[in-house]
Amino acid sequence: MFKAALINPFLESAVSFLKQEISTEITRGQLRLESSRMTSGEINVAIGVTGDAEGIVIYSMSERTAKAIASAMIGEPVPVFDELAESAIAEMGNIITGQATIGLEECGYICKLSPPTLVSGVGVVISTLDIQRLIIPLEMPQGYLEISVALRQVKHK
Amino acid sequence: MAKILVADDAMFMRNRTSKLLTANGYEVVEAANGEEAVKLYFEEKPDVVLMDITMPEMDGIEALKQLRAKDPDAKVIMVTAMGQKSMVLEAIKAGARDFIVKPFDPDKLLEAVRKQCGQ
Repeated sequence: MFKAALINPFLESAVSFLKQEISTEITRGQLRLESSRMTSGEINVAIGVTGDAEGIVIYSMSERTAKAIASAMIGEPVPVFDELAESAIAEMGNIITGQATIGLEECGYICKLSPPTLVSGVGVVISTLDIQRLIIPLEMPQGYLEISVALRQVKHK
Repeated sequence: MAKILVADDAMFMRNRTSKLLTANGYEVVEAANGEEAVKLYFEEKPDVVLMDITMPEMDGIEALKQLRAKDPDAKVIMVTAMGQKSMVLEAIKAGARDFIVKPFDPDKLLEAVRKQCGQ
């Protein structure tokens, strides 16, 4: 059973970060639960979570969206998805996940994060094995961003 | 001119912080992980360190502990997305002078740096 306490902090931190950094209007699509296997977007940031809840959080988007988000964060055009743009997108994942851990702690789950990993490619299949993913779809003028939260509680609440 | 050591594994965040600090008259030295931060601290002797927590090689808390073990006066401000109370307490216990949560407000970061520089 996926607990709402595990997803709400991500929803709140994602919307708050994107509004602050990307200065945009965000439309949230319907949350949905999916099986562990996913065909990724072209650019994906994966961040591991350990502690009272464990698993992985994946931020998936097209390269075009990644460039638009990175450009807004850097404050300059990003014609090529270079090392600095990669770093900005990874940092987006890091900050959203980091902020979410504050909300998780308030619900009694103390967690730590791994440094972000960037996975690029078309049609890459990622599996979170036996952990289901809760999907947060976010539509912005910069493009579509999908956040997969694949967490399970370790501590029973 | 006060010297600031910026330790963050994210190039994007090092660039952003360095730009802000240099534009406000500080000299900046950059480190990409905790191990490099400890090494550079004793080479460069910065006035203040801005330290991320989640970094490869050595995380920011461990780097803070090592700095404070050799230099109890090291002025370290943690700058991290990991803003949980437990993390703040761990950092303060390990000797951090201040704690700033990313994404940071530029004015708040500058104010924290000025305070540690005694300006």
